[in-house]
Amino acid sequence: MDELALLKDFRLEDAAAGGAREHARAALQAAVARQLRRRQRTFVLVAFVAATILAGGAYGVVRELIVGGPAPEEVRQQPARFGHAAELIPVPHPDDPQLDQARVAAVLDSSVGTVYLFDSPNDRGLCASTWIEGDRGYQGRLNMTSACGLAGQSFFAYGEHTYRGNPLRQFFGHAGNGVTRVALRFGSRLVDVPLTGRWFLAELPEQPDEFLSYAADGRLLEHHAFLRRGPVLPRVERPHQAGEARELAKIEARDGSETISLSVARASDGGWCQIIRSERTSNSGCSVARPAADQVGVEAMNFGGAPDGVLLLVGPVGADIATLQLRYQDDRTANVPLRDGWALYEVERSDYAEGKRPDTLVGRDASGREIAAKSLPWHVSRAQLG
Amino acid sequence: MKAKAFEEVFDLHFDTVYGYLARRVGPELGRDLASETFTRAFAARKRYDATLGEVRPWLFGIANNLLRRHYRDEERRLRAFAGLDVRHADDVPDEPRLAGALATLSREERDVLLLFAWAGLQYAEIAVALAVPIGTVRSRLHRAREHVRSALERQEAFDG
Repeated sequence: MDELALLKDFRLEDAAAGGAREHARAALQAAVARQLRRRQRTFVLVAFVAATILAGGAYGVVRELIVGGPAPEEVRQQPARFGHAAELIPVPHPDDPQLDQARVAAVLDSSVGTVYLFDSPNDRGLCASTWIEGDRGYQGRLNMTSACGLAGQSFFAYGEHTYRGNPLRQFFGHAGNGVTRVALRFGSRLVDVPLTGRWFLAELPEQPDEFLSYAADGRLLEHHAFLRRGPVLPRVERPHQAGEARELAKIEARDGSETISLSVARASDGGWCQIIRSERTSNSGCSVARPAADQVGVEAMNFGGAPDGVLLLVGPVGADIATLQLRYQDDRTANVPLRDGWALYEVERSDYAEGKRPDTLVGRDASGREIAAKSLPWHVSRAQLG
Repeated sequence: MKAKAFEEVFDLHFDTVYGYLARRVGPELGRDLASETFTRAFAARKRYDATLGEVRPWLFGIANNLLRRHYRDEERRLRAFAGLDVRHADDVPDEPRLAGALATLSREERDVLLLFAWAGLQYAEIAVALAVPIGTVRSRLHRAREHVRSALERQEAFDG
C-alpha cells in the first residue's frame, strides 16, 4: 500500500484557492496601509515616498479602495457565489442589497480592523452594507450587515459584532434629502457623526439613546430613540450530529454523470441531520425537524448552486404520508420516491424554464387520500394563471 | 527583500501555501492562515535571510507556526472525517481511513509528513521550515509513513 500516493489525493478539493488569493491581497493591502499610516505619524517624508510608490502601482499586491469607486470583486461576487444569484431557478428577493453593483461609501479604521461601508441599490431603494476586512463565515462567505431604505430617506443601523473575539459597536447608514448633519445622543451628550457624502459609518463606545438629523439651517428633521436592550437570552447551542449517519437514498443525477446520496443522522436537539453528498460537493445541516404526521418537510435545494448545480427536492415527510407527488406548473405530475419517510429527487434542467417549474408537493396517506400540500418557491396560483 | 520582489513571492507561492493549509484545517481557516502567513512574511521580509536558500521553506515555516494554534481544530476535523459512516456505501473509500491514520500521528510527525506530501518540500527544506536537523526530518518522516501504512493495513484487515 502506497500511503504517499493516497495522501496526494486526500482532501485535494479543499486546496482550490477560490477567493482566498483576493482575500490575502486585501489583508496585505491593509497591512501595508497600516504600516504607511504608522510611518506617516513620525516620518512624513518617508510616508510620502511610500504613498507615491503605492499610488504609482509599483507594489502590485496592494489594492486601493477608493470611496465612490467600485467595491472589491469579492464583495460584488458575493451574491453570485453565495446569494440568490446562485439559485438555479431564481426567486425574487426585492429587499436584498444588489451587491454586484456595490460601491465603497465610507472606510473606518476601527479598533478591530478596517471596516468598509458599501452602498448598493435594491429593488425598493438603497442599501448600506458593512464588512470588517477579513471577516468571513461559512465557506468563505463575507460576514456583512445591511440596512436598506428609500433613496430620499434616512436609514441607519446600530449593532454589536464580535470579530476574532473583539467587540465592535458600529453605527452606519444613509442621510436623507435635506439632512446636513447627523448626531447621536448619549444621555445628555450630543455627538456628531461625520458624513461621507450621504453616508455615515462610526464606531461607538456604547449604545446611543437617540438618532437626530438636522437641516442646513439647524432645524431638527428627524429623531429616533434606540430601544435599550432587553434581558440577555441564554446562548442556544447549535444542533450537531448525535448519532451514526445512515444512507437512505442515492440517485444518478445530471443524466447519470453525478451520483448524489442522502444520509441522515439524529441531531442533538432531537431533530435530524441531513447529509447530501456527491463526488463534486456536499451539503449538510442539523436543523431538520421531523414534520408533523400530515406535513411535508421536503425543501428545494440548490445543490452546488448556479450555473452547474443540481436542483434537488430533499427532506422528510410526516409519518402519515405514504406517497409524495410533485406537480409542475404545467400540471404534469411525477412520483417522488420515499425511503423511511425521506425524499431525494432531482428536478430536471429542462424543467427550470418558466411555465414548467416544480410547483407543489402533494402528500397522500396509505389509502391515497390527499392529506398535505406544500407550495414550492415557484408556485403559481390559479389566479396568476388566469 | 523589496516590495516588488515580495509581490512575485506572493504570486508564485500563494496557491501552494493556501492549498497546504486548507487541506490541513479546511478552506475557511486555511484562507485566514494563508493570508496571515503572507502578511507576516511581508512584515518580516527584511529579516528574511536569502542565504538560507529558497523562500518556500521560510513561508512554510511561518505557515506551520500559525498552524500550531490550530492543531486541535485539525485533529477534530480529521476525526470527524474518519468517523463518517460509510458502512452502507458500496465500497469503503480510502479517505476516512487515511484521516483516521493521520489523526493518530504525533503533531511533529504529521508536520513532516504533510510538508513532504502536500507542500512538496525536500528533506533539507523541511528542516529549515521546522528548524530541526535534517536527521530528525528523516526519522520523523520514516516513523510517520510507517505509522500511516500500518494503520491503513490494520483497518483494511478489520474492514475485510
